[in-house]
Amino acid sequence: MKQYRQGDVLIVQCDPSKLEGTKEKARDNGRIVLAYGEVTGHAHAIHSQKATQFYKEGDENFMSGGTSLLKVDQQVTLTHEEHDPIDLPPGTYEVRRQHEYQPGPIARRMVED
Amino acid sequence: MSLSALGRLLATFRREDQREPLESVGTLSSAVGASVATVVTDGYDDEEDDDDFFLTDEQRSGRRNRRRRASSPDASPRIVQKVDSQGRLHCEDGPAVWNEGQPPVDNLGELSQVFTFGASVEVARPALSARLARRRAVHSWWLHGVAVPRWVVLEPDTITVWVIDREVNSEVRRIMIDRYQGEDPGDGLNGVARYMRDCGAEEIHRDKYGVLYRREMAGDEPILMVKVLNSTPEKDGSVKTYWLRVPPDTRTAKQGVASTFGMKSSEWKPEKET
Repeated sequence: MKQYRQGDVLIVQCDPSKLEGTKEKARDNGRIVLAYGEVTGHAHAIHSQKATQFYKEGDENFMSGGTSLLKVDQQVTLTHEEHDPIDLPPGTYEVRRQHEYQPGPIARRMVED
Repeated sequence: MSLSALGRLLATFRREDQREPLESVGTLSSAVGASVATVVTDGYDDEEDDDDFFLTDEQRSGRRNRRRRASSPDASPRIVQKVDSQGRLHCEDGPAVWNEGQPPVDNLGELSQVFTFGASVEVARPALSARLARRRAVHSWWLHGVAVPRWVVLEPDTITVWVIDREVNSEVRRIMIDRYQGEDPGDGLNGVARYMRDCGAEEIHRDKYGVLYRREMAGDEPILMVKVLNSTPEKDGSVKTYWLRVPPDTRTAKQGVASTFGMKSSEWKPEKET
Protein backbone atom coordinates (compact mmCIF):
# COMPACT_ATOMS: atom_id res chain seq x y z
CA MET A 1 0.00 0.00 0.00
CA LYS A 2 1.38 3.38 -1.01
CA GLN A 3 2.21 5.96 1.61
CA TYR A 4 2.59 9.71 1.27
CA ARG A 5 3.82 11.95 4.03
CA GLN A 6 3.44 15.69 4.26
CA GLY A 7 4.92 16.92 7.53
CA ASP A 8 2.84 15.60 10.41
CA VAL A 9 0.27 13.90 8.16
CA LEU A 10 0.63 10.42 6.70
CA ILE A 11 -1.69 9.24 3.94
CA VAL A 12 -1.80 5.46 3.58
CA GLN A 13 -3.62 3.70 0.75
CA CYS A 14 -6.19 1.28 2.11
CA ASP A 15 -9.01 -1.04 1.10
CA PRO A 16 -12.20 0.78 -0.04
CA SER A 17 -14.21 -1.38 2.36
CA LYS A 18 -12.91 0.84 5.16
CA LEU A 19 -15.36 3.49 3.98
CA GLU A 20 -18.31 1.40 5.16
CA GLY A 21 -20.10 2.92 8.11
CA THR A 22 -18.33 6.27 7.75
CA LYS A 23 -19.76 9.76 7.48
CA GLU A 24 -18.82 12.38 4.95
CA LYS A 25 -17.01 15.38 6.36
CA ALA A 26 -18.30 18.75 5.20
CA ARG A 27 -15.78 20.94 3.37
CA ASP A 28 -14.16 23.89 5.06
CA ASN A 29 -14.54 26.97 2.86
CA GLY A 30 -14.71 24.73 -0.19
CA ARG A 31 -11.63 22.70 0.59
CA ILE A 32 -10.86 19.45 2.39
CA VAL A 33 -8.65 20.04 5.41
CA LEU A 34 -6.82 16.95 6.63
CA ALA A 35 -5.15 18.76 9.54
CA TYR A 36 -4.71 22.24 10.91
CA GLY A 37 -1.68 23.72 12.57
CA GLU A 38 -3.08 25.01 15.85
CA VAL A 39 -0.60 27.84 16.22
CA THR A 40 0.16 28.82 12.65
CA GLY A 41 -3.29 28.27 11.14
CA HIS A 42 -1.60 26.43 8.28
CA ALA A 43 -3.49 23.50 6.82
CA HIS A 44 -2.91 20.30 4.89
CA ALA A 45 -5.64 20.89 2.32
CA ILE A 46 -7.11 19.63 -0.96
CA HIS A 47 -8.91 22.25 -3.06
CA SER A 48 -10.10 19.94 -5.85
CA GLN A 49 -13.71 18.70 -5.91
CA LYS A 50 -12.51 15.25 -7.00
CA ALA A 51 -11.97 14.00 -3.47
CA THR A 52 -14.15 13.43 -0.40
CA GLN A 53 -13.21 13.13 3.27
CA PHE A 54 -14.90 10.70 5.65
CA TYR A 55 -14.69 9.96 9.34
CA LYS A 56 -15.66 6.99 11.41
CA GLU A 57 -19.03 7.06 13.12
CA GLY A 58 -18.68 8.38 16.65
CA ASP A 59 -15.31 9.93 15.93
CA GLU A 60 -16.45 13.50 15.36
CA ASN A 61 -13.34 14.85 17.08
CA PHE A 62 -10.95 13.14 14.67
CA MET A 63 -9.49 16.52 13.70
CA SER A 64 -7.94 16.65 17.17
CA GLY A 65 -5.53 13.89 16.30
CA GLY A 66 -7.69 11.00 15.17
CA THR A 67 -7.85 9.16 11.87
CA SER A 68 -9.97 10.04 8.85
CA LEU A 69 -10.45 8.52 5.40
CA LEU A 70 -10.06 10.05 1.97
CA LYS A 71 -11.62 8.94 -1.31
CA VAL A 72 -9.88 10.32 -4.38
CA ASP A 73 -11.77 9.97 -7.68
CA GLN A 74 -9.21 11.72 -9.89
CA GLN A 75 -5.69 12.85 -9.10
CA VAL A 76 -5.70 15.71 -6.61
CA THR A 77 -2.99 17.79 -5.00
CA LEU A 78 -2.38 18.04 -1.28
CA THR A 79 -1.01 21.45 -0.32
CA HIS A 80 0.47 23.08 2.77
CA GLU A 81 2.02 26.49 3.35
CA GLU A 82 5.37 25.04 4.54
CA HIS A 83 5.65 21.81 2.56
CA ASP A 84 5.95 20.96 -1.09
CA PRO A 85 2.69 19.71 -2.66
CA ILE A 86 1.97 16.01 -3.11
CA ASP A 87 -0.12 14.55 -5.94
CA LEU A 88 -2.45 11.80 -4.79
CA PRO A 89 -3.59 9.29 -7.43
CA PRO A 90 -7.17 7.92 -7.35
CA GLY A 91 -7.83 5.53 -4.51
CA THR A 92 -8.96 5.22 -0.92
CA TYR A 93 -6.66 6.45 1.82
CA GLU A 94 -6.37 6.52 5.57
CA VAL A 95 -5.15 9.83 6.99
CA ARG A 96 -3.03 9.54 10.12
CA ARG A 97 -1.67 12.23 12.41
CA GLN A 98 1.78 12.14 13.96
CA HIS A 99 2.03 11.66 17.72
CA GLU A 100 5.01 11.61 20.04
CA TYR A 101 5.34 9.07 22.77
CA GLN A 102 4.57 10.53 26.19
CA PRO A 103 4.81 8.70 29.50
CA GLY A 104 3.11 9.52 32.77
CA PRO A 105 0.90 12.50 33.43
CA ILE A 106 1.66 14.44 30.30
CA ALA A 107 -0.69 13.66 27.44
CA ARG A 108 0.40 12.01 24.23
CA ARG A 109 1.53 14.97 22.22
CA MET A 110 0.27 15.53 18.71
CA VAL A 111 2.89 16.89 16.34
CA GLU A 112 1.77 20.02 14.52
CA ASP A 113 3.49 22.01 11.86
CA MET B 1 -1.87 8.93 59.99
CA SER B 2 0.87 7.53 62.15
CA LEU B 3 3.77 9.50 63.56
CA SER B 4 6.20 7.26 61.74
CA ALA B 5 4.51 8.02 58.45
CA LEU B 6 4.66 11.70 59.25
CA GLY B 7 8.33 11.35 60.02
CA ARG B 8 8.97 9.75 56.65
CA LEU B 9 7.12 12.54 54.94
CA LEU B 10 9.01 15.24 56.77
CA ALA B 11 12.23 13.51 55.89
CA THR B 12 11.39 13.89 52.21
CA PHE B 13 10.89 17.62 52.54
CA ARG B 14 13.71 19.83 51.45
CA ARG B 15 13.73 23.57 51.68
CA GLU B 16 12.31 25.38 48.67
CA ASP B 17 14.99 28.03 48.76
CA GLN B 18 17.53 25.30 47.97
CA ARG B 19 15.73 24.95 44.66
CA GLU B 20 15.24 21.28 45.19
CA PRO B 21 11.88 19.71 44.56
CA LEU B 22 9.40 18.38 47.07
CA GLU B 23 8.47 14.77 46.90
CA SER B 24 4.79 14.59 46.12
CA VAL B 25 2.98 12.03 48.20
CA GLY B 26 0.14 11.31 45.86
CA THR B 27 -0.92 12.30 42.42
CA LEU B 28 -3.97 12.07 40.28
CA SER B 29 -4.04 9.76 37.32
CA SER B 30 -2.63 10.45 33.91
CA ALA B 31 -3.27 12.63 30.89
CA VAL B 32 -3.58 16.32 30.25
CA GLY B 33 -4.67 19.47 28.60
CA ALA B 34 -4.67 23.16 29.18
CA SER B 35 -6.18 24.67 32.27
CA VAL B 36 -9.83 24.78 31.35
CA ALA B 37 -11.92 25.01 34.48
CA THR B 38 -12.07 26.72 37.82
CA VAL B 39 -13.96 25.08 40.67
CA VAL B 40 -15.02 27.09 43.70
CA THR B 41 -16.07 25.30 46.90
CA ASP B 42 -16.28 26.08 50.59
CA GLY B 43 -13.41 23.73 51.24
CA TYR B 44 -15.39 21.49 53.59
CA ASP B 45 -15.98 17.84 53.05
CA ASP B 46 -16.93 14.82 55.05
CA GLU B 47 -13.51 13.27 55.10
CA GLU B 48 -11.74 12.98 58.35
CA ASP B 49 -9.02 15.55 59.05
CA ASP B 50 -6.35 12.90 59.15
CA ASP B 51 -3.67 15.54 59.20
CA ASP B 52 -4.74 16.52 62.73
CA PHE B 53 -3.17 13.42 64.10
CA PHE B 54 -2.54 14.99 67.46
CA LEU B 55 -6.27 15.32 68.26
CA THR B 56 -8.46 12.69 69.84
CA ASP B 57 -11.51 11.46 67.97
CA GLU B 58 -13.74 13.57 70.21
CA GLN B 59 -11.68 16.67 69.62
CA ARG B 60 -11.76 16.11 65.88
CA SER B 61 -15.50 15.61 65.84
CA GLY B 62 -16.11 18.70 67.95
CA ARG B 63 -13.92 20.80 65.76
CA ARG B 64 -15.69 19.68 62.61
CA ASN B 65 -19.08 20.48 64.13
CA ARG B 66 -17.96 23.93 65.20
CA ARG B 67 -16.68 24.59 61.71
CA ARG B 68 -19.93 23.56 60.10
CA ARG B 69 -21.99 25.71 62.47
CA ALA B 70 -19.84 28.69 61.65
CA SER B 71 -19.96 28.14 57.93
CA SER B 72 -22.86 30.35 56.91
CA PRO B 73 -22.92 31.13 53.17
CA ASP B 74 -21.39 34.53 53.83
CA ALA B 75 -18.69 33.22 56.11
CA SER B 76 -17.63 30.24 54.01
CA PRO B 77 -14.19 30.45 52.51
CA ARG B 78 -14.00 30.31 48.75
CA ILE B 79 -11.56 27.62 47.78
CA VAL B 80 -10.58 27.99 44.16
CA GLN B 81 -9.26 24.97 42.30
CA LYS B 82 -8.07 25.12 38.71
CA VAL B 83 -8.13 21.92 36.75
CA ASP B 84 -7.14 20.72 33.30
CA SER B 85 -9.35 19.05 30.71
CA GLN B 86 -9.00 15.78 32.60
CA GLY B 87 -10.24 17.33 35.84
CA ARG B 88 -6.82 17.26 37.47
CA LEU B 89 -5.44 20.13 39.51
CA HIS B 90 -3.50 22.26 37.07
CA CYS B 91 -2.42 25.85 36.55
CA GLU B 92 0.56 27.02 34.50
CA ASP B 93 0.76 30.60 35.75
CA GLY B 94 -0.23 30.47 39.40
CA PRO B 95 -1.45 28.24 42.21
CA ALA B 96 -4.01 25.61 41.31
CA VAL B 97 -5.63 25.75 44.77
CA TRP B 98 -6.06 28.79 46.94
CA ASN B 99 -8.41 30.56 49.33
CA GLU B 100 -9.90 33.68 47.82
CA GLY B 101 -10.79 35.05 51.23
CA GLN B 102 -7.25 35.02 52.54
CA PRO B 103 -4.23 37.04 51.52
CA PRO B 104 -1.85 34.94 49.46
CA VAL B 105 0.98 33.17 51.19
CA ASP B 106 3.55 32.90 48.50
CA ASN B 107 6.78 33.66 50.24
CA LEU B 108 9.03 30.79 51.03
CA GLY B 109 9.31 31.54 54.72
CA GLU B 110 5.59 31.12 55.29
CA LEU B 111 5.53 27.99 53.21
CA SER B 112 8.40 26.48 55.13
CA GLN B 113 6.65 27.31 58.37
CA VAL B 114 3.60 25.42 57.24
CA PHE B 115 5.73 22.45 56.42
CA THR B 116 7.11 22.42 59.92
CA PHE B 117 3.59 21.55 61.04
CA GLY B 118 3.65 18.46 58.93
CA ALA B 119 1.44 19.93 56.26
CA SER B 120 3.47 18.57 53.38
CA VAL B 121 0.92 15.78 53.23
CA GLU B 122 -1.77 18.27 52.36
CA VAL B 123 0.17 20.12 49.74
CA ALA B 124 0.74 16.87 47.96
CA ARG B 125 -2.78 15.45 48.12
CA PRO B 126 -5.73 16.93 46.22
CA ALA B 127 -8.38 16.12 48.81
CA LEU B 128 -6.41 17.71 51.60
CA SER B 129 -5.09 20.61 49.61
CA ALA B 130 -8.38 22.50 49.69
CA ARG B 131 -8.63 22.06 53.46
CA LEU B 132 -5.15 23.44 53.86
CA ALA B 133 -6.05 26.44 51.72
CA ARG B 134 -9.18 27.00 53.82
CA ARG B 135 -7.43 27.04 57.14
CA ARG B 136 -3.99 28.40 56.43
CA ALA B 137 -4.40 30.38 53.22
CA VAL B 138 -1.64 28.43 51.59
CA HIS B 139 -1.55 28.20 47.83
CA SER B 140 -0.61 24.90 46.31
CA TRP B 141 0.93 24.33 42.95
CA TRP B 142 -0.07 21.61 40.57
CA LEU B 143 0.57 20.71 36.97
CA HIS B 144 -1.54 17.99 35.39
CA GLY B 145 -2.41 16.50 38.76
CA VAL B 146 1.17 16.45 40.02
CA ALA B 147 2.09 18.53 43.07
CA VAL B 148 5.16 20.59 42.22
CA PRO B 149 7.21 23.31 43.89
CA ARG B 150 6.07 26.86 43.21
CA TRP B 151 9.12 27.76 41.17
CA VAL B 152 8.46 24.96 38.68
CA VAL B 153 5.21 26.74 37.82
CA LEU B 154 6.27 30.37 38.00
CA GLU B 155 9.96 30.24 37.13
CA PRO B 156 10.48 27.49 34.57
CA ASP B 157 13.58 29.32 33.37
CA THR B 158 15.28 28.27 36.61
CA ILE B 159 14.87 24.56 35.80
CA THR B 160 18.27 23.21 34.84
CA VAL B 161 19.61 19.87 33.67
CA TRP B 162 21.36 19.58 37.03
CA VAL B 163 18.10 20.03 38.95
CA ILE B 164 16.19 17.64 36.69
CA ASP B 165 18.79 14.93 37.03
CA ARG B 166 18.63 15.15 40.82
CA GLU B 167 14.85 15.12 41.16
CA VAL B 168 13.91 11.84 42.82
CA ASN B 169 10.22 11.86 41.98
CA SER B 170 9.78 10.65 38.42
CA GLU B 171 6.46 12.43 37.86
CA VAL B 172 7.83 15.76 39.07
CA ARG B 173 10.89 15.16 36.92
CA ARG B 174 8.74 14.61 33.84
CA ILE B 175 6.91 17.85 34.52
CA MET B 176 10.24 19.64 34.93
CA ILE B 177 11.53 18.26 31.63
CA ASP B 178 8.33 19.30 29.91
CA ARG B 179 8.80 22.88 31.18
CA TYR B 180 12.57 23.02 30.70
CA GLN B 181 13.68 26.07 28.76
CA GLY B 182 17.46 26.15 28.97
CA GLU B 183 19.33 28.68 26.91
CA ASP B 184 17.55 29.68 23.76
CA PRO B 185 19.75 29.76 20.66
CA GLY B 186 16.68 30.33 18.51
CA ASP B 187 16.39 26.74 17.38
CA GLY B 188 12.68 26.56 18.12
CA LEU B 189 13.13 23.68 20.54
CA ASN B 190 11.53 23.46 23.95
CA GLY B 191 10.80 21.05 26.73
CA VAL B 192 12.13 17.54 26.34
CA ALA B 193 13.79 18.25 22.97
CA ARG B 194 15.85 21.06 24.46
CA TYR B 195 16.65 18.93 27.49
CA MET B 196 17.96 16.17 25.23
CA ARG B 197 20.06 18.68 23.34
CA ASP B 198 21.54 20.10 26.56
CA CYS B 199 21.98 17.00 28.71
CA GLY B 200 24.48 15.21 26.48
CA ALA B 201 22.18 12.41 25.40
CA GLU B 202 23.91 9.43 23.81
CA GLU B 203 23.52 8.79 20.09
CA ILE B 204 22.56 5.14 19.72
CA HIS B 205 21.56 4.85 16.06
CA ARG B 206 21.66 6.79 12.84
CA ASP B 207 20.14 6.11 9.43
CA LYS B 208 18.64 8.08 6.55
CA TYR B 209 15.50 8.67 8.60
CA GLY B 210 17.20 10.48 11.48
CA VAL B 211 19.40 10.15 14.55
CA LEU B 212 18.21 8.30 17.64
CA TYR B 213 19.32 9.56 21.06
CA ARG B 214 18.96 7.98 24.47
CA ARG B 215 19.16 9.42 27.96
CA GLU B 216 19.09 7.14 31.00
CA MET B 217 16.89 8.38 33.85
CA ALA B 218 17.43 7.09 37.38
CA GLY B 219 14.37 5.25 38.65
CA ASP B 220 12.44 5.81 35.45
CA GLU B 221 12.35 4.63 31.88
CA PRO B 222 14.97 6.16 29.57
CA ILE B 223 14.10 9.05 27.28
CA LEU B 224 14.54 8.27 23.60
CA MET B 225 14.18 10.87 20.90
CA VAL B 226 14.79 10.82 17.21
CA LYS B 227 16.14 13.95 15.55
CA VAL B 228 14.79 14.37 12.05
CA LEU B 229 15.15 16.91 9.28
CA ASN B 230 12.19 18.54 7.60
CA SER B 231 11.82 17.13 4.08
CA THR B 232 11.04 20.56 2.64
CA PRO B 233 13.80 23.20 3.00
CA GLU B 234 12.91 26.69 4.22
CA LYS B 235 12.79 29.59 1.75
CA ASP B 236 16.31 30.61 2.77
CA GLY B 237 17.60 27.11 2.01
CA SER B 238 18.00 26.05 5.65
CA VAL B 239 16.41 22.85 6.91
CA LYS B 240 14.40 22.70 10.10
CA THR B 241 15.28 20.08 12.71
CA TYR B 242 12.62 18.31 14.75
CA TRP B 243 12.92 16.12 17.82
CA LEU B 244 10.31 13.44 18.31
CA ARG B 245 9.96 11.46 21.51
CA VAL B 246 9.61 7.74 20.83
CA PRO B 247 8.97 4.64 22.99
CA PRO B 248 11.84 3.57 25.27
CA ASP B 249 12.29 0.23 23.48
CA THR B 250 13.03 1.88 20.12
CA ARG B 251 16.22 0.58 18.50
CA THR B 252 16.53 2.46 15.22
CA ALA B 253 15.73 5.94 13.98
CA LYS B 254 13.45 4.45 11.32
CA GLN B 255 11.54 2.49 13.93
CA GLY B 256 11.17 5.68 15.96
CA VAL B 257 9.80 7.73 13.08
CA ALA B 258 7.40 4.92 12.07
CA SER B 259 6.11 4.69 15.64
CA THR B 260 4.99 8.32 15.57
CA PHE B 261 2.43 7.29 12.94
CA GLY B 262 1.51 4.06 14.72
CA MET B 263 3.47 1.88 12.28
CA LYS B 264 6.14 -0.78 12.54
CA SER B 265 9.57 -0.21 11.08
CA SER B 266 8.90 -2.83 8.37
CA GLU B 267 5.71 -1.01 7.33
CA TRP B 268 7.32 2.40 6.96
CA LYS B 269 7.74 3.00 3.21
CA PRO B 270 6.60 6.50 2.25
CA GLU B 271 6.61 6.93 -1.52
CA LYS B 272 7.00 10.66 -1.18
CA GLU B 273 7.80 12.92 1.79
CA THR B 274 7.65 16.70 1.83
